[in-house]
Amino acid sequence: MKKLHNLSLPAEAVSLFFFNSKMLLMRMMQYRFNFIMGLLVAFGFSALGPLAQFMLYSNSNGYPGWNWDQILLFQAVLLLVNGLTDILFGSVRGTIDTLMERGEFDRMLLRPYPPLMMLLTSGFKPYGLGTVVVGTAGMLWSVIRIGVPAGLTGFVFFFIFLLARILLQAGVHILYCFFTVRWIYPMRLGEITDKILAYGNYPMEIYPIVLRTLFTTALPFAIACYWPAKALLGPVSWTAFTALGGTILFVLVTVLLWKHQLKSYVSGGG
Amino acid sequence: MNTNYVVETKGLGKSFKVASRSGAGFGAALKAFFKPEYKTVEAVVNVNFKLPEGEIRALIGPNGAGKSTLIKILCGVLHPTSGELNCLGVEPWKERLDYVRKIGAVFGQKTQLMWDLPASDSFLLNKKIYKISEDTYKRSLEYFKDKFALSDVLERPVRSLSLGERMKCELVAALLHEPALVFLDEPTIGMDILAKETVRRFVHDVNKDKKVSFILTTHDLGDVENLCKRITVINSGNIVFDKNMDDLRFAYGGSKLLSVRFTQPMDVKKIKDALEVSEDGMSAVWELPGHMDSYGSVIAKLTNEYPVADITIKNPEIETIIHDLYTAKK
Amino acid sequence: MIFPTMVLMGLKRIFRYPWGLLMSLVIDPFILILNIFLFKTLFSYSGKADIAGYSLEAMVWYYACVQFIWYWIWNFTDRNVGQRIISGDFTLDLIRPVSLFTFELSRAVSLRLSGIVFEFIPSIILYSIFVPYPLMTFTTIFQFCISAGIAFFMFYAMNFLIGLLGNYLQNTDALQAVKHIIIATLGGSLIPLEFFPDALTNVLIRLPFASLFHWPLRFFLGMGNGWGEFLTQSVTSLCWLGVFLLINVLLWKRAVRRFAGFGG
Repeated sequence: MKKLHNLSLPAEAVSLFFFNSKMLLMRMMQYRFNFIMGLLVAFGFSALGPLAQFMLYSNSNGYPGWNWDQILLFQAVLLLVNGLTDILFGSVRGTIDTLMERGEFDRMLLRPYPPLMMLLTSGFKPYGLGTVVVGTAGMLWSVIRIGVPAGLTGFVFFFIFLLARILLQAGVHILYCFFTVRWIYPMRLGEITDKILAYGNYPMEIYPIVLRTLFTTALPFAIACYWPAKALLGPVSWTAFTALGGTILFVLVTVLLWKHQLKSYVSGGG
Repeated sequence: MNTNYVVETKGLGKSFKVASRSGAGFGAALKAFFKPEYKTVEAVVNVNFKLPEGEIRALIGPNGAGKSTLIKILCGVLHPTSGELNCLGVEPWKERLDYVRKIGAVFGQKTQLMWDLPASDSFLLNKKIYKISEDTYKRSLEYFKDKFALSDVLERPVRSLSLGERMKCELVAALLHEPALVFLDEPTIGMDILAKETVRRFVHDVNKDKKVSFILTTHDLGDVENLCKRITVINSGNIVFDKNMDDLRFAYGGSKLLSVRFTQPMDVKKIKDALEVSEDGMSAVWELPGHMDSYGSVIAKLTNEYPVADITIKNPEIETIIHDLYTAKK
Repeated sequence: MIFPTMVLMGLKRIFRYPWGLLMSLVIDPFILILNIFLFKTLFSYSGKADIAGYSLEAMVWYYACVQFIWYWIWNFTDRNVGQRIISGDFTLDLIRPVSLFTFELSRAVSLRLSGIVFEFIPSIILYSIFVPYPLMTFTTIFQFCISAGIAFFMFYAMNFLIGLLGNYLQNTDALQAVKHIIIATLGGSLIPLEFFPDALTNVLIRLPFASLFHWPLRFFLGMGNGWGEFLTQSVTSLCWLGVFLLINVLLWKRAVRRFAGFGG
């Protein structure tokens, strides 16, 4: 596999992502029924989360400090960020699992690209589009109803936190790849990761003050959805930027772990 | 159908409908998505095949010839589109569960053993599945352990075995229940020469000791030459040859090759009617008819004409014969 | 007897990876802690003692029980069978003198036996320590185990059916996702069926999906109406199980005929 272009690494990564995505789409379109159904399912499935929240909320008073429109906005942002990260990295886990299970990870090391870049750019999952569409629609609906109290600044911060969320997800996947290369069979690691990350799927007000402080600052759980949603609703607290710092630090640590693991990688047998 | 044969087919055929696409790239994929095109592939066409009891038959052909499809029909895995079939007295796909108790199969590229466990565990499972009695199981296992020197291998997880070791275990697993008919689909693929010889010797001994019939598909013609008296060649779904090895040589390799080494370099232009001449002029090869009564006169003529240091007469390589068969038009 | 041997082999394979079993002990505390925070907040903010008939403890235990039911019923049969059809390894399944249904069932049983021992039992102990539930008795646990056992076979039959459809669809990933959505919404694993409008709830509780989650959950949480309801519901679930098994039997011969098994 020769290099696609002579570009800088970030540009190369983008180019590789689009190339891999095209290849994956071509593979998926071989199974027409599965492809069409998958797209429809993605749209339908995306609506389940808000539906469940609506049912829970309509039978209670919801979360302290959040009215129904704000909860809807929160849910919409959650769908949007999950959909985006799914589109970008949804297939990374499956890819590394398959490579390690079949003993084909060596192939990655023979390509003219950093293996981590190859893994992260092979994560395209088109079904995330449904979630993005539903999330965007939900956001637009909320914005129509309650506007954007934070104004233009709110949108700017929203996009900054959105990027941070994508970076956080990349870090989570790098960590998953690290453990998979280390252990070969990651077993239920993916499930553990999902259960931990689920802490970011709810407004931070549900946690006691100590945990809330941790999650909104040093531990980047609030980056998942809370800070992006809050950015649109009102002035962003300075503590949000410590969460940004925590996210960047987390990603750096995962990259270092990955590089260390790669040095001690032991290939499978003949 | 004649019950003296363990396998007998009449007019057997199998066709598939497969998606086809013109061109490559995203555009072609998109076009195929909205307007899929299909074509019918005739994988097996009008096959008449007979296997007597106790024979080791080679079933060979180029890639995509229909060998594996035919094997799968004979195993009861695929249903034929046309024709009749009788294996061990039954139509395989109709009485599949009873039929597969009497056969064994080794697919070189697929494993039947449990990957994470030692092979001995897979054998125990097979003992239960095939309802092998304790005595038969012990006797068979000792027989195979002895033949293959497997004592150290059986207690290690299959995933940690080398290819040769794994293939031996696959063969044992396929033969533990003393089947009457065994299908070997490329059993020596990827093996070193010693491992191949062990497998060949094993198949030969089992065939002789236990009267097991084998159908062997392989691309390694060494397997064919060492094990099989009769060879069936399939190409584009049709059987193009189905006779003994000697008949194969006679029908398709009727010529012999006479190689001569000279005492001194020869002018290439002065060597007449040779099939090939080496660049340094030190040797040449002539093709002779395969069924001459004596080659003495030919040898005498050559030694008179040229300064001969050494002469060898041999049959053409089986690969050459098979190559000609594969590339022959229908 | 072949089946116990196959189950034993399956257990042997699982115990080759003890870390996988220990991981299960780590997952539950995360779920427990999150649910405690979530529902405590919802309940205290609403000022109500119960929501749609569920107390705080019942809500926490509801989602714990959803996880328990997965420990009882989860299997990879649809994925296994589907992948083997695509890869051609289905060939090997067809030359084994054991029905594939039985073979895969043995794998599912061994998987769930390890799940019950290493996930279900420790989880019940953990939850009982941190969120005692007064309505949990031996009777409710017994009724739960029976109904979850029936749910195991029903889920298995559904998965086998989807796997077999790989002979028609080649790729069944989307169909598996549809199954999950249906079970989540119509079975009660996403949200209790009582949260739906009454008319819809009355329909949903009669569908087979309710046998997977809704009814086992009701019995476990002590919200059932005695042995009468338990027996009626068990018979209904068994009837639905029979329907799925019948569909499997009818589909098997036709689906296997379609198997193509390309390549060597």
